[in-house]
Amino acid sequence: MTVVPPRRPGTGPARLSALLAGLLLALVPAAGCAPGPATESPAPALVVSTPATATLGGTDAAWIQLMIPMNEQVLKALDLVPGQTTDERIRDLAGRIAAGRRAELDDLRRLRGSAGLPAVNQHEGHELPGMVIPADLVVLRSLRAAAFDRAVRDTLREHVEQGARLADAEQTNGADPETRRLAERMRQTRVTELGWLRRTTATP
Amino acid sequence: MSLRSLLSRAVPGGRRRVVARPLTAVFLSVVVIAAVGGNGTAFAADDPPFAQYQEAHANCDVNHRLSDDPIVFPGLPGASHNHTFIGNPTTNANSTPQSLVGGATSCQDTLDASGYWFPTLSQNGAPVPNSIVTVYYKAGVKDYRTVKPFPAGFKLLVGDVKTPDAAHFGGSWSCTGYKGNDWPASCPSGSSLVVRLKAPSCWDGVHLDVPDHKSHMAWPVSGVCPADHPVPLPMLEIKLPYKLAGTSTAGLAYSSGASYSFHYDFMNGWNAARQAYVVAYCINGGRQCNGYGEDPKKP
Repeated sequence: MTVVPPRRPGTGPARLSALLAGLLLALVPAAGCAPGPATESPAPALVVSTPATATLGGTDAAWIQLMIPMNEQVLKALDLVPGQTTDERIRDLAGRIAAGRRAELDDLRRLRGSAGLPAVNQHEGHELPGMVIPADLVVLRSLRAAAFDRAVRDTLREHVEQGARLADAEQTNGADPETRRLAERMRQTRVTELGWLRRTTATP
Repeated sequence: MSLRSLLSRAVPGGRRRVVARPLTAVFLSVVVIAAVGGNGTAFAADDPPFAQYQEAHANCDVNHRLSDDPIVFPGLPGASHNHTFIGNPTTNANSTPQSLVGGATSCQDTLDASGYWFPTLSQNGAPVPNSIVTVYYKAGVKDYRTVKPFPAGFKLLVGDVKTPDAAHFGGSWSCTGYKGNDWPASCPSGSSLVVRLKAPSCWDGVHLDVPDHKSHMAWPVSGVCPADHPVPLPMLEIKLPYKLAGTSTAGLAYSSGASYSFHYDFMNGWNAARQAYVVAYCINGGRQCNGYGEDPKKP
């Protein structure tokens, strides 16, 4: 069924912008080139309202705005590693992961800026899978040597595995080609990192 | 492909249609005036007949918890703080209104397969169980006869996870002997801790969702929907009772933070004809319907 708003005189401009938005909604699927199964993928068009975010669907925006704090937060854990580990392999692993995260952050922030997304952390204070939260940092700061190594490896594994899952989801459900390309790069990075993590765990 | 260029081509055609609408409205008004001619009180739409209630209740059990939010983080499983879900048992990060309609539900009305969800409340790390949750569908406007059903595809986020403090919380907390904007220190034994939160009920008539998932809706002004949000829809109000293990509220925490971070989401999964009936019969009809769309006192 359709609901028709009451037609009142004097609301012309509002209705014009409404109509424009309606046209945008109608046009975006063609412009966004989103493949993906029709039943699975959320409609990206509904989230679009301004030309600034025209090619970005809801999944793209949500993924960018989640991966930024995910990377920022894990860097806080990685920064603890040099001072608290005694294992050269862990120190090396942390350095390589941190360098990758910083480079990704540059790309993510650039996408956020060009899409006109707000630079706020929607996830501040929330506990979610793969996110290093302040309570995790308190625990990590209290540990040294082998106990620290175990804890930081567990933290990293959860973070990397969830990051790979989220990159998969962006690839499946995202609409913006550039964001999906970044997700593919970040997925490959995480697959590589999981290999590194396994190798540092193999010998005690 | 540039959207801007598409838009600039599309506008002229749209403008013609926009201009046509007020003329239709004027024409309709003339017809209405002609039809009711002799009756001087025909326009007393401001004075609906008195009705103590104008509401229906969606009574639904909790059926699952997930770190998913198909409105705020669509398509990204695990991208959200933990949510507790009622209504459609399949609601997850990939849900859409289309995927919900026709599905199963934990609500008493079997044709309401909507998804409703809210942050998960824990006490010392363990989720606090809920008794049955009620989502009221009420009239937010004075003339309850004008309320329309939610359109197919409609989504809404109610409240604000970023509320800065309890004083800014738009809802209320209560248990026996207490009502306030924050958790009390304790509740009497056996008393549920209840949170209530109302939603704005006036729709812009166009957007099924918007980037903030909220501003397609606005509050009525003096009981009437404002010109930029002219369509009265049901006013949702959630009533969410928690069964505390003891009497103390110490150690309570939402997955989204403090008490005032409470918010909820609605993704319309109703069978459209059934919702139209419930809105017409219960809200427009001035009734107090139970969870089955019936008012035993006003059949």
